[in-house]
Amino acid sequence: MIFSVLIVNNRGKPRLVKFYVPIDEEKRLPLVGAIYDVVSQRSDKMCNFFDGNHIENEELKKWGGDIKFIYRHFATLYFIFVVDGTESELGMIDLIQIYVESLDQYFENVCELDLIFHSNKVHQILDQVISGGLILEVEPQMILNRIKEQDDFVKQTKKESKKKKKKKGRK
Amino acid sequence: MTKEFEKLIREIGDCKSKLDEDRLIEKQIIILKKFTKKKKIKPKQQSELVLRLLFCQLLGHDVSFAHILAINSSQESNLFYKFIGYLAASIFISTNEDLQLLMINSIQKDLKSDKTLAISIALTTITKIITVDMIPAVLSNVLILLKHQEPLIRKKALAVMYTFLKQSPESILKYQKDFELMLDDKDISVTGVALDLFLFISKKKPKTIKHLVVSFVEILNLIISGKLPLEYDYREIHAPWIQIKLLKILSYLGQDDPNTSREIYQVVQLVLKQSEIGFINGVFAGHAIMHECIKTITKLYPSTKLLELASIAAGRFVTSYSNNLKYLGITALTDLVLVYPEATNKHQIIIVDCLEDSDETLKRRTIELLFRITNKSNISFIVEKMLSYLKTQKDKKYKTSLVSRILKLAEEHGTNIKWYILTINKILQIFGDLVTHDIVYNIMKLISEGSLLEDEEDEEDEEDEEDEENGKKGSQKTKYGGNTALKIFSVDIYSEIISLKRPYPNILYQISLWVVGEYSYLCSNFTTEETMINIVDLINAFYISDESRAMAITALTKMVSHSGKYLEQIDTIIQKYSTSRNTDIRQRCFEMKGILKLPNIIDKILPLDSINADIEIDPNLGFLNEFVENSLKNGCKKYISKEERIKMENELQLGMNENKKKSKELRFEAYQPNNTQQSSTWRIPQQNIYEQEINKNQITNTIELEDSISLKVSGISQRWTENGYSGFKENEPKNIENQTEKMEEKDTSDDLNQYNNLGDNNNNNNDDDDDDDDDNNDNLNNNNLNNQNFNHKNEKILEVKSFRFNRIGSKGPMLEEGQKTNEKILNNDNNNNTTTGQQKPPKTEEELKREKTVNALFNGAGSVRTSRKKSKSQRINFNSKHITKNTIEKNLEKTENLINLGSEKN
Repeated sequence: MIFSVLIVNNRGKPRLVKFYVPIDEEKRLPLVGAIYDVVSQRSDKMCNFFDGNHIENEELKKWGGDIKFIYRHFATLYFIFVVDGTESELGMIDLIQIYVESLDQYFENVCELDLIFHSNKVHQILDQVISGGLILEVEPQMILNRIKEQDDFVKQTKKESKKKKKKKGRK
Repeated sequence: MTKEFEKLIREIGDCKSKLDEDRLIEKQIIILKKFTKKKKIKPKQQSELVLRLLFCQLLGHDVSFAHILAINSSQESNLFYKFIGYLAASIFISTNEDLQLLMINSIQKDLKSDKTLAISIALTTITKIITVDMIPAVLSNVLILLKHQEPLIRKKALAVMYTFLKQSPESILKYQKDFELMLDDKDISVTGVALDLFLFISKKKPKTIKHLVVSFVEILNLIISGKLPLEYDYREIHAPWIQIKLLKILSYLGQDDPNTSREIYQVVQLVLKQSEIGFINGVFAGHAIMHECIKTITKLYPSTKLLELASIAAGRFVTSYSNNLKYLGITALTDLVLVYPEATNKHQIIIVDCLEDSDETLKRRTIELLFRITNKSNISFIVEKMLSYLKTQKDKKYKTSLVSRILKLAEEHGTNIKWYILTINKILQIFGDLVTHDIVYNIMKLISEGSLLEDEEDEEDEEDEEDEENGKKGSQKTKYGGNTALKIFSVDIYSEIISLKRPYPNILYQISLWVVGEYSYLCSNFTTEETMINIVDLINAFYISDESRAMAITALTKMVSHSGKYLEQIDTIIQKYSTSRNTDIRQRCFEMKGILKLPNIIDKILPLDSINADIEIDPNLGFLNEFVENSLKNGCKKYISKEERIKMENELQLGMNENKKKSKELRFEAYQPNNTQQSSTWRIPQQNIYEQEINKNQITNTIELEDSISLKVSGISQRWTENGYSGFKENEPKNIENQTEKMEEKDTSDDLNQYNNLGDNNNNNNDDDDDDDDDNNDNLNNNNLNNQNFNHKNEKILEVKSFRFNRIGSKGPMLEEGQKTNEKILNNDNNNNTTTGQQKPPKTEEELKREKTVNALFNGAGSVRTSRKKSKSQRINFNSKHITKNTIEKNLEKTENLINLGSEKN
């Protein structure tokens, strides 16, 4: 299963922190920092995975011994997935690809600022791909359709509520 | 999003330091706190606030004061606000139980909602905030949702079930039938999520789902046949993630189960074949499937055909240019090699090349693989590569573990002992400070016993263990065992190392010094004198530790005693280091001085090549039985075990407490004389040593208490004793003894006894050397005769250890026949020794025990040249040797005094 999805920028600032296992609030950022330290040391030529034993953190031990980190580096952002032994490394690389593609299509040329200003959307898209640590959907188009459906739905309800208000005002 | 929030984000983006950023956020938090105190907030404003909170939390600030806002927001009817509320709640409250309970209500409501979106959001939230106690509250609702018409809801419901399953497997496993139905879902992606549940079960309880193997195989067949709708393809590969999951499940189910494995073989082969298409296209997902196939094949019950295919596939990974694929290839091979050792044969060079890659992760993996594929034919090559890798390694912890593993590897697979020694020297030269001492003892053992070399030519194919056995047998045949050629070889190497005078790690010097000290007479490239000069230089060098320095001094001692050659420089060394701050060095210097003074027995103390001479240790100290019996006959008390003694001590303490009470009151009775008696030299015959100790305690205690009452006797020499006046002409010995007393205040009586005994024995040795000295002293001669008799009986042991055993052996006969005389001397001694006031009691078992330990230490010292079994405690023995020998020296002086005294008496 997937334990955590992290988006961190080149300077170590977290842009999205999502855990699929219970973890205390104060322990989240130190863990993210520790992971960033390792990731940022690695050159782009190196492979995209490393083992849990590279990082000494008590929370990681709680999740079990067999932990892998799979990350990709896009421009200013690191996308890091923390998974256990049941996930395939290469599969995860492709999953990151899918997630980034969906973001890219939704925001039309995604950049770091989009992630800051629309953090709720970033979460929403991620929730379409992964839920409870499991892969739900791997087709970017399907993901986008869902999000658009939701957006439309929200707009509709907004319109309806406006109409209601207008009606109320008329009455 | 309001302008305010946007401004905040921009400002933070412009911040140049963490401090500025923190200041801004703190300001923001103050504003947010004001808002939370307001009673009525518009939903729009509320959701905006929640977003701001999320932002602050992301930057690592505590926003727990406003968690309630998120919950309020989640209860809004507007889905947009609801979504934000749920999102914030799921991020904020993953471990805070009180807030979780608050959420439950709105979640339950939303699960029953008719809007798919609301259900979907609620389900997502459950996976994040659920705890074991909350499962029953929502379980029934989720079970209904498993049959929802929307595939998305079914998937999310399954994901929720998965989190339940992880939290309390027992209560959820009864719904396994429901999950099985999900396998046949119309939408294959729902099946995919259901597979995650079965993956979990197959890991924990593979036996409960063995019957499903057929359906798993069917699904897999269906996927690779390409009959699925196109939307499930990822870059022309059919549902790769589901394939991977299926392969994972099958590998767990087929593990150690030949029957199930046979059902799986065919489909795995097909999948592997198809994944090759993906490999050609260069899509990661295709590689992933192939990698998974290799992993599955290694886990299944072995089938040679599949293993061959797997090794070919692994070869594709390893030979790839991408580091990712190389890494996975190496990982796969690491597992595969265990089942199918031939897998790496073709790729050895590529694997070794991976060590020169810049990627640290890849290198570490490669090292793991290399450890597994090392054998006799490639060991020297691989170790060389590993060492060159080690030199580049910076992580000290990893380095240390790697060094010890390489050493182990060399030991396991090394066929040539010369190579082994050279390799270890190489490792020690570079990484000496990372090596444990065990390896040193191993090498010493190897050199002294010499195992592999002799048999190498005839029995190369035999296993190491057998070789070692042969070595042992060989060593039994010759006098002390070992292999002269090997010893010459190693002495040559190590004397060269010493002659190089480079700041190598101490551990290397320690081995060198030991080997050279032990076998210097075999050395072919240096003369003994040259080596001795080298060692002298080394002792003076700044870069070696005191421990090595001490070993160097011992090595010199050995060399002098073996070769009989002596250098002037040694004198200066002794002089210089006799005053060293390090007690070990000092002791060794004194010891060397002492030993060199005894040319006749020098070769008995340090015999040639005696490391393998098994020293027989009699743990029961049988040779003392006679003595014990005699002592008992003479009225000694029996040995009291420790428990009993503790009991007695406790009782005594009680008594002392009473004494304390008494001392505070007025005393009407006459003072009891026993305290003063104790402190004087009154002789109470047959008093147990233990009682004496107790009395001593009493004395010190009572003296403390009654300081003012009783006479102060300590420090005043008492001339009148039971035996009459004895105060004349005794100044000399008394002084000396007083000195020693001061040194060993704690155990005066015991040590004194020991001194006396040791003194006597040393006397005997002296007698052997030059009888003239002791002609006057009949008593001692008498003892000596007895000793000699005794010695004859024990010829077996005496060869090497006569020096030490004499000492112990002498006690028996001494008490048997010469007891009276002995006691006289002792009495004399005690009489003089008024301040201590402890008289010599007959030997008790307590003391025998003491002897035993001393003896054991001596035996250990005999094996300065590592006794085989005790190699670990060798260092301690090493030191103990000094202590005992040092005391002997002191005793020599002391006995001379005693002799003088005795002669005067006579």
